[in-house]
Amino acid sequence: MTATGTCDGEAVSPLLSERLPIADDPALKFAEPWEAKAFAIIVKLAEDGVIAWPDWVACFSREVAKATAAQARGETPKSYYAQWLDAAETILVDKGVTSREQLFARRFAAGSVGTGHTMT
Amino acid sequence: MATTKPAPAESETAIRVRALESILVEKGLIDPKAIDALVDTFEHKVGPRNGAKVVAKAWVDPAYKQRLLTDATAAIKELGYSGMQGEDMLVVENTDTVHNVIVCTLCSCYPWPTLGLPPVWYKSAPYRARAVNDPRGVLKEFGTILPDDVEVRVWDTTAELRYLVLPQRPAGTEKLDEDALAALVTRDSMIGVTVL
Repeated sequence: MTATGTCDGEAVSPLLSERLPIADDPALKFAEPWEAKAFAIIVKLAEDGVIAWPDWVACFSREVAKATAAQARGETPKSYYAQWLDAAETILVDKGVTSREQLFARRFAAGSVGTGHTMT
Repeated sequence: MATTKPAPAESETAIRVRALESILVEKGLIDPKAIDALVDTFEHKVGPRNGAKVVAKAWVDPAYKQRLLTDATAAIKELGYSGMQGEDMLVVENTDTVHNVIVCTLCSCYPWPTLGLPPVWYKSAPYRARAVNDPRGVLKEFGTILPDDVEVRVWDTTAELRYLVLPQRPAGTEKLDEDALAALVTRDSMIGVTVL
């Protein structure tokens, strides 16, 4: 299995001097219900053989690598479950289960106003 | 009060997940009830208490410990903990000369059936980067300082294999029974960042 960027010394090295977020360890396992749902969807699809776990790990690792590189550049990375959701959509599109077009159409049908809008 | 407070707007991210779920349900690939049951399992049924029971049993039952170290997957399943990507397990034993630490450098693979969901720091970029490069520095942040002659082994989890650390039984616990021993075993000791 190959990962893009995780072992890239240049991108990762600033992290070597970062302290660990040991205290940031809430008892609450999922901060929001969507996190739990996105997590469980992938675990269930893997259990049922719809996606192979190593394929998922490869796909998710690419999202984690992107976030890791962003953090190494001093940017604020996406949250862990936002990375998970990005990877979930990507793997299901890659496997032909859905398409970007279908995902967008369904989001708008479900009430999305798009990420560029601000609700007041 | 709750009756006068408007319901919070559903976030764009929550809508994205709902859209994804509805497509998968429509295609017959997931059952919403099964998803809810799985969430319930992760929130309420799995956690480090499972791993602690495995460790305590290994401490009091040499034959079980032998099975645990030779075929961890089967030995852990004996106690009813299996599935959920915890199928292929390897238990690594701490001794007077070897201390083990687990990490997943690629993402956050973790032995869910025995430890539940990983803590925030386990998933963090600094832990993933530093556990391999500077394990003693990482251990020190957890207050764990090992003698220089103890070898520190770092086990990088893969998609196929997950690890659990078998901590050393604390001294002075000879009279404790299995349940009392299990109560002493912490999550962090089974990740290997602390000792008991």
